Amino acid sequence: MIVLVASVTDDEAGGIAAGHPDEIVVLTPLDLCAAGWAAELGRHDSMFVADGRTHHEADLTGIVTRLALVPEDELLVLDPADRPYAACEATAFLAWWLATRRCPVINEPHPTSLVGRRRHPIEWAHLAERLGIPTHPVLRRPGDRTVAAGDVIWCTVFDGDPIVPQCMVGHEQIMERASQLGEYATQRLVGFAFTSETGELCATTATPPLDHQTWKRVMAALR
Amino acid sequence: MIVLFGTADDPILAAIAEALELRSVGHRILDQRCAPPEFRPHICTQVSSTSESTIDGEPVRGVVLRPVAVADVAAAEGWAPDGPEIAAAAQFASDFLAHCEFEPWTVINRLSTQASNLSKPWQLEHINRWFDVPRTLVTTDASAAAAFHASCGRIIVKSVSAVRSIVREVQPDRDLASVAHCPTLFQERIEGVDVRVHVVGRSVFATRMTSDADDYRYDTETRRESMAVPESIAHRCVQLSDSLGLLLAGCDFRVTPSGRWVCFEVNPSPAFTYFEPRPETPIAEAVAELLRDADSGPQGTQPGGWSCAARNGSTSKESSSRHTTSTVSSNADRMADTLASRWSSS
Repeated sequence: MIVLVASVTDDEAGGIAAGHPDEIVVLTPLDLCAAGWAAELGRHDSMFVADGRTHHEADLTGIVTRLALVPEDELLVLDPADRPYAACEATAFLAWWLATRRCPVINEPHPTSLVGRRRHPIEWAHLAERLGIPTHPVLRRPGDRTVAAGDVIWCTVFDGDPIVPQCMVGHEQIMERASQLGEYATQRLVGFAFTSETGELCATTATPPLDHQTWKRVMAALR
Repeated sequence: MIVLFGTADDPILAAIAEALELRSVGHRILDQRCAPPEFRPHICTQVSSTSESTIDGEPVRGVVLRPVAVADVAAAEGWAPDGPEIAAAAQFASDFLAHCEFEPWTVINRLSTQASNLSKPWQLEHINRWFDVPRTLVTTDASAAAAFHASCGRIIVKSVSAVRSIVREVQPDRDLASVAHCPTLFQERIEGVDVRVHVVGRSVFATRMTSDADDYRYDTETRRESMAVPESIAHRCVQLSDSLGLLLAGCDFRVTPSGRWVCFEVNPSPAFTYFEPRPETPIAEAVAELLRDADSGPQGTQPGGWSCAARNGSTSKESSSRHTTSTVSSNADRMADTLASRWSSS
């Protein structure tokens, strides 16, 4: 069984699970509010809840994380006053539980984020500049400037290799830059955005779109 | 210059400032309640560089981070939610804290290295490489909690995250049924004496607490006294702190009647003044010594540091504090990558 940790509003995750009902289940924040979880430190026989049902860890073959944290506004079964605390506790719990399972986890969580160590855009800008990759001002001062979505090319990198859909043909320099940056990422799956005209790095994400090619690579790594 | 970032009324920053003052080490408290200074970050375009980031024209050598959430500062100061003060404070904090992650400064402690404390079980797994830790269960299942209680005998409950909670012993009839809607952390209750071990670089300071409460922090009758710790314990405390990338850490132990040291937690931003044997201030002095070394040493011992978040302990001199109960040599180099990569390599 592969578990996709995702928001209840993540249609991409829901669609993938719907296409593989016998193999993939989605674990949403609401599952953290359900009875059935039991995990002891140093052991690998935990019980968990996904898609509203209780499962045994032994059935897990892989995990894909799509949530940076447990958002309080998705804990709808709780009293609104209790949601901020519960969200904090659920995030701290998931960070540990996801990081210490024996199956592969993409991306492996860190206490700063469930999708891997969180880095400030300025850290990425610093790295890019050291690598000789130009950066857009929006990376250092997100509030000051914006880049229109149409002026941006996203490149997904998995295990350091860019995933090359048809639309990336002709953008070899951008793929090369993404590959360089991907080598320094602590996450296995990461996305980089560049301005289409100048090839400047302008954004990063640890939850790039799970398109067909990306999902194929992820599944191959999990199986 | 040494930068102390937080609020001027923070007793920890005040104690460090006083110790720096006594050593004539140039320092400045950047009070988040005041207008931010001019921060000119150096933009590095090659691995080796000569220019450096400055605050009001002065190069930074060391930093102590005790930041308060900007929203809390704004609420306390009565700033308008959309006013210029909050925007300026948030922008400066964001920029400065991001730079603290990779600048070749001695930082006590970088936020990324403080993060292990955001998840107690995550940190306990790490601690367990050096010390015994209590049996720990996180559950939303009342029957699992009851079984754990039956297995351990006596258990306590505390928060999973860094949200401060009062540790208390579980009363099964009252407490266990309410776990179903939120992951709840239970731990076996360890009998013994509470000991807080502060690690500053390679120096170790231990304080024994005597209290009848489950959580000595909330007992006004708690007695505190300095104590010596076995060399092997001191050595492991330094290694543990080192492995977490911390230059200053507060390790919480309970020492059982049989002499077993059980570690509960490592605090990456410890309020050490509570534990100091006033009027002596050995911990603040050790921190100041560490920062003095940073201030007088060459900058840029690390090449610009993308992945050097935990390499901030570049000082090589040992503290000369006469109060040091134990000084231990750590491994030659601090870990070369983030906690995440260390974790994945385990």
